[in-house]
Amino acid sequence: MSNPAMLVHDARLRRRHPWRDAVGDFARGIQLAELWLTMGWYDVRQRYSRSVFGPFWVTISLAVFVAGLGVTYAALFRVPVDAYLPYVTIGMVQWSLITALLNEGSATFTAATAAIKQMPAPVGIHALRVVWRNLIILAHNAVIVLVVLVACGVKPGWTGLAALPGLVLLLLNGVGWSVTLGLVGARFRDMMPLVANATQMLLFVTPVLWRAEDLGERRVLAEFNPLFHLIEIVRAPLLGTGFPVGSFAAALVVTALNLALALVFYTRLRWRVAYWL
Amino acid sequence: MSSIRLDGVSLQFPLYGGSARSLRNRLVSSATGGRIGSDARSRVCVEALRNIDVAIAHGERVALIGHNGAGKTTLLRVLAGIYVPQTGRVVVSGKIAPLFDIGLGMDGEASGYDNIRLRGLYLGLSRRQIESRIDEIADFTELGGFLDMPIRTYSAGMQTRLSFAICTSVDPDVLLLDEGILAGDAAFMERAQARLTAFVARAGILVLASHSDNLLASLCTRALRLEHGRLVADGPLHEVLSPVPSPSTRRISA
Repeated sequence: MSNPAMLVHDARLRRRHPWRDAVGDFARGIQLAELWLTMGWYDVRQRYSRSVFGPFWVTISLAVFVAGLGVTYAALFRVPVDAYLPYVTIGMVQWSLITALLNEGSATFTAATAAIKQMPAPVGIHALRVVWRNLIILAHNAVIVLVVLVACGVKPGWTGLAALPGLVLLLLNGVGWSVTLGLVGARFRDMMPLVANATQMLLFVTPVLWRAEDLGERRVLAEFNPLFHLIEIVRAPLLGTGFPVGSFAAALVVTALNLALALVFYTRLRWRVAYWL
Repeated sequence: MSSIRLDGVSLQFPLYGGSARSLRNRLVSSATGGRIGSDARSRVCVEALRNIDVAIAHGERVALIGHNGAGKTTLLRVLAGIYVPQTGRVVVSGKIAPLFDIGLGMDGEASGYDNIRLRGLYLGLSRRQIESRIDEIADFTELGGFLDMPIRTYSAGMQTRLSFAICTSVDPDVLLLDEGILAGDAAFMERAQARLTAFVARAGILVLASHSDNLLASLCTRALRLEHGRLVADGPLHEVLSPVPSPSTRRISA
């Protein structure tokens, strides 16, 4: 027989190499790429299975929102529409990704109860599935960004490519959120309404609809907001205003801390998920 | 060679009531401290399995019997690697195919075909391997056009057909079945039993939890009786099933 599969759960050994085991478990989850890619794809497909526009509903509503906002707020802030509209469009597309990652991240495991209780697999695959499915939605929304950039004559040029590492950092944070919030959410069901409330409030204190410079002397409010940097590292390159070195450094630190926290939670709590569901 | 070995496996479920589960409750109790705090810490637990020692060898067909809530499903989930026990050791060698909560499927909104793909991926098949077997699996289910519909529209028996067909098609070494398999109709049960018998003939390990003595008698040779999470009897099936103890059955007094 060729290399039979082995299952070993030893309560005493578990405490010997907790970190290495957690990393190994998550790595095995990543290797099950076919599984979580398929699950994420089905998630998107099913969510819109009986609608005509499908996932483009998110895109349409976002486009309407951004168009209305762009015209009105440009007048409020006394800035030209073709300068404000690209700014707010990129910001809102990213913001909808961030809120989806936070909100769906807090239901990472509760939403996968049936699968977790039936089939053994590293539970981390459900965090990867959440991030992947929102990347698919982002790909739909990216159409708006493209249209607005062309319409407003913004040409980011080659610096626009610098948005890609920024997006990768944002997605890594999504993995961290899905693990941490998902684990807490599996134990305490208050997590979902809590996060939903928090994201609503965060939109108004994060420079998405307005610019960080508008804060004047209180710009520090934006500088200490990790979400600002996560948005800026994608937005600034796409607007052609150059590579934001400061924000990128801040985003690196935020990502490292976020993933470290997720590792702590994954190490200590992943095996309890099946008990909590 | 497949084998299963459990040494001193115990497992407790914390029971969280409506209020005990909220974050506020925890925060309030830890903030006030004292008696309320310590009350909140002493959680209600259900002892689902207690100190289970079992060794199952290659080719054995084992029945799990006991009342509802005796720990049969929990034990199956431990064998599948879903529940990690708090104490003790579980070693299972061989490719495991679990079949629990048959009525649920992997994803209620997904079609029958998609559920075949999902479960196949979980069981360790690649997409290509699944696509090459999908027709054979579809044939066995006899569900025809229903395979294109979301499985939430299936009856319990139809879902049983689907899940069973997938799990037995992956050539597992260790097959873990929960009682839901009885949801099939007579014609399906006949074919399911034939498939199980063929599996058993290949000398893998079968662990089957059921309340149907007939089904167990036709498939199993050995039985484990669970009571309140403890293993109370282990021996040949007919002896464990019979009310009169016999010398060859290990009666375990807890």
